[in-house]
Amino acid sequence: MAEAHGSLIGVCEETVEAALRAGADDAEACAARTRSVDVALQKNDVHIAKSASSGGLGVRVIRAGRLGFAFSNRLDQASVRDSIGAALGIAAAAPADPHHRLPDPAPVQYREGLFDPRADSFRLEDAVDAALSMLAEARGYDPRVTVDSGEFAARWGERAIASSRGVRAAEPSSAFYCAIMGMARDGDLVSSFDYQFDGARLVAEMDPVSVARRFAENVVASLGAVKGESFTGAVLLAPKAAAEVVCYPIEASVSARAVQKGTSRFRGKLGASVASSALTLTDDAALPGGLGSMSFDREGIPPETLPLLKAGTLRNYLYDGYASNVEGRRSNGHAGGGPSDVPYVSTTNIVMAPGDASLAEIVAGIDRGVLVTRFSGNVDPVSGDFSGSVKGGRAIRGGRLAEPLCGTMIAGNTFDLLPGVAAVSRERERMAGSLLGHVLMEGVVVSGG
Amino acid sequence: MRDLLRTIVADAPQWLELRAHERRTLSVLVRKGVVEAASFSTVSGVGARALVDGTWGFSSAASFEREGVLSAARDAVVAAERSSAGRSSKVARLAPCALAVGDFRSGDAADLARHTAEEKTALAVATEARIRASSPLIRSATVRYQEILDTKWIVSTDGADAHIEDSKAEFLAAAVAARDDDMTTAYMGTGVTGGFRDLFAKESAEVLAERAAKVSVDLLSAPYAPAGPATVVLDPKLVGLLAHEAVGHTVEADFVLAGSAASGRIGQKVASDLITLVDSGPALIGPASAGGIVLVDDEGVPTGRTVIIDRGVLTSYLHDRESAAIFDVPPTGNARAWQFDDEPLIRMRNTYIEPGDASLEEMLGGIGSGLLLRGGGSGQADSNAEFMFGVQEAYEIRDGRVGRLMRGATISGDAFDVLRSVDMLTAEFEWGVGGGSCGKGQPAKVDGGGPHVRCRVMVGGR
Repeated sequence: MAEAHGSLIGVCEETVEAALRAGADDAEACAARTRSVDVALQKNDVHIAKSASSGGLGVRVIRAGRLGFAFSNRLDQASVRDSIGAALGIAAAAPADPHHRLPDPAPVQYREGLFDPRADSFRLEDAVDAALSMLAEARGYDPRVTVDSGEFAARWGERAIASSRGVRAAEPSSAFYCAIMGMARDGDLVSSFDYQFDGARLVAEMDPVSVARRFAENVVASLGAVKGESFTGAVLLAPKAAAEVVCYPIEASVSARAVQKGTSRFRGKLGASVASSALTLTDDAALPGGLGSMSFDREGIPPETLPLLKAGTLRNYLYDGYASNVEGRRSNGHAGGGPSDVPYVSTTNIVMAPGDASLAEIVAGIDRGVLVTRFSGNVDPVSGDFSGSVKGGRAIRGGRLAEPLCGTMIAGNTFDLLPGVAAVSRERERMAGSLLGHVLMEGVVVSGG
Repeated sequence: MRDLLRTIVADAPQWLELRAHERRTLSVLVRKGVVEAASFSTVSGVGARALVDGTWGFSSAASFEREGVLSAARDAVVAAERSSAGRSSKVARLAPCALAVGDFRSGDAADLARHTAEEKTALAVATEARIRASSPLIRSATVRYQEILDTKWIVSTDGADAHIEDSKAEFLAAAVAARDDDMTTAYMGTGVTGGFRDLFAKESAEVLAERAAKVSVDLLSAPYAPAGPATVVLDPKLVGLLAHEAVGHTVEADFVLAGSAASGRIGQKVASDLITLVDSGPALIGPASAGGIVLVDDEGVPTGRTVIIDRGVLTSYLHDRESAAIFDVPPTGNARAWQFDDEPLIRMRNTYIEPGDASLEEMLGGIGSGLLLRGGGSGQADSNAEFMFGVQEAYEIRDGRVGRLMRGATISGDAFDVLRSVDMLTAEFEWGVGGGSCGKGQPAKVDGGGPHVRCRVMVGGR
């Protein structure tokens, strides 16, 4: 086990002691210190190069069952003192709640692979080269591709947390991120825009050229789109669309806070079948390279790797300290947020188990359907209702991808459609903090022009 | 502060812009009787932007001390120098204009300060409780209050020397109604550049609470809206979303230069003669507390009224100084940065369609079959001018009469097709989207509005 890292933890501990001296019954300090470089693309060119050193400290106090919180992006003594005063001030204004108690410490097993030793020597020029490689790939794929914006960014540093309950944890981490957005233009024909991104803890795991290739393929394929037909039936959601239509309502509904407030469709359904057996989703804070991977959560508690849906059966809810206090149980380490946030329930990395069929086999089995590369619409995570436009869409006819689609919308209710998930593809795509496959849903309302 | 920035800028051998920014935020979040968050936040520092060899560099420091500011300025120059070889099309010049000098104040920080954090927290708690008490069908409620107080200084080598004070506040009431597993959510929000009295000038917290509760309960019994093309009446909030999402994003000059659907269409007829669409920094129409007020942008350009579409003809894009030079037009004051450590991007401010002269009764009277649409959710725009946004309340119109409520509607279309289909505007004007934010890599507080508008759109439903 690695030792808590550097002096940032010392700042947190001093803050906790100062908050207790100032009158808090309990206190917690969470701090971060990071460096970053970022090269932004715009209009098919390098736009701006950026470098920054940043950080901040958030202090959470509890006094007579009342909660207060304050954050400053400065770590000097005067700023910390001001934050403690502000947090105690707002606690005095808040009503008491017996569930506002800080969690007791749990042993932290520090994970490997969260910090890239190459980060300290990562230069601005390296980010420029990576960004230019994305531009060259996208523009080289087809001269009709135009890049509106994009970036390659690296961020590294440390975070630490200490509390009066004895929580004490710190670790370094790094994150690399790339994104590219734009369209294809052929005379007056303009495609839908597409947005592709990826992120990883280690720079060696980044493949910005593949991200740019995927973007270029999508925008060129959507040139010359026509309005689709109206029908109710099969919709094949690409990973980015599946993240919104399938995963988002599930993630919101496994939050123990939502369950406790009655706003989760999964209330009272632990152990029940809520989806087709094709669907297995796991929250995995140990996913190698995942941007959601961590050794401890926003409250210093190690996140447990938890199956959420296992072959369609609901297996777990996610708890932070507050939600666990409501039920008198221990947190399973899913407090999200950074130093500037009051903790809330959050997922880490969402991993979808691969299915048996390949993407090509799934398409071959669809007589009439629509492939949705990107979903531009509204998903209500409470009711599960979704409705919106198909982007980068393709008609599927007789088991083959057919014409590109525009002016086509899809609608349905995620929870009602989960039992009708017919397949998940064997191939999966990593998108920063998730690893998802294509998802085939039946019974979706498709509205053409 | 201004003296320190002036001294460093005066010594700069190249183009340099320094922006010192202190932001203080108070947030209160109450959900089903629990104050989940009550927090103060202070974020302050200096952002430095340099232009070297036609290439931008940016750096920031969480400091107002001389050494910190100098360090940010040096690092911005280094960033520009190190990326210069990668930039193929150099910034040849920045559009000249009279940059802002002096003090600029918007909002009403004094009024926000007259009300204590305790009072604001108590209001959020009471409003949330009121929503839940209004019906046994309300399962949960959420109320969020937020205020943002900004102080900025912008000094640049080509003459910007501005001190800016601004305050913005927003209040959101949300209700979740439920019957067994069927749940419906309604949001009522307001956001202003101003003080506490501006925030509740149109509707009190109690009214927002009651409306959120009523709509969420009514939606429980509502059928799903039918899908397909339809004649619709958009309320001012949805008109604000239309102006922002459907048109505004496609005319942001960075997007235009990358080839958006508005590219090359200046001077062309893109909308009905009835349509004059404006993006303004100050509030030049309706209540003076529009939620996106910017008197001076983050390049130090004084803002005004930018007419994007004048009686149906596309007349202007939205510019920063770099894009304005490329198009050889004056900058429009649309360069905005969220915090000190963000670089300015082309963003909207208050985007709206100017009113016409019809009454709502006249407008509805001409519709045999259609939908009256009120209140919106999130929206998105596309490069090919396709847009979509969610609709909270869709009311059936039959023979000019407003009928039953329907749920689950989303509207979409080609922005310019929809604007060409507009055949009537009402005479009243309202701001409607100040309670939300626009996302484009960085958040931005914006507003939008207009009259009621009658047009044809595609409705996504069941």
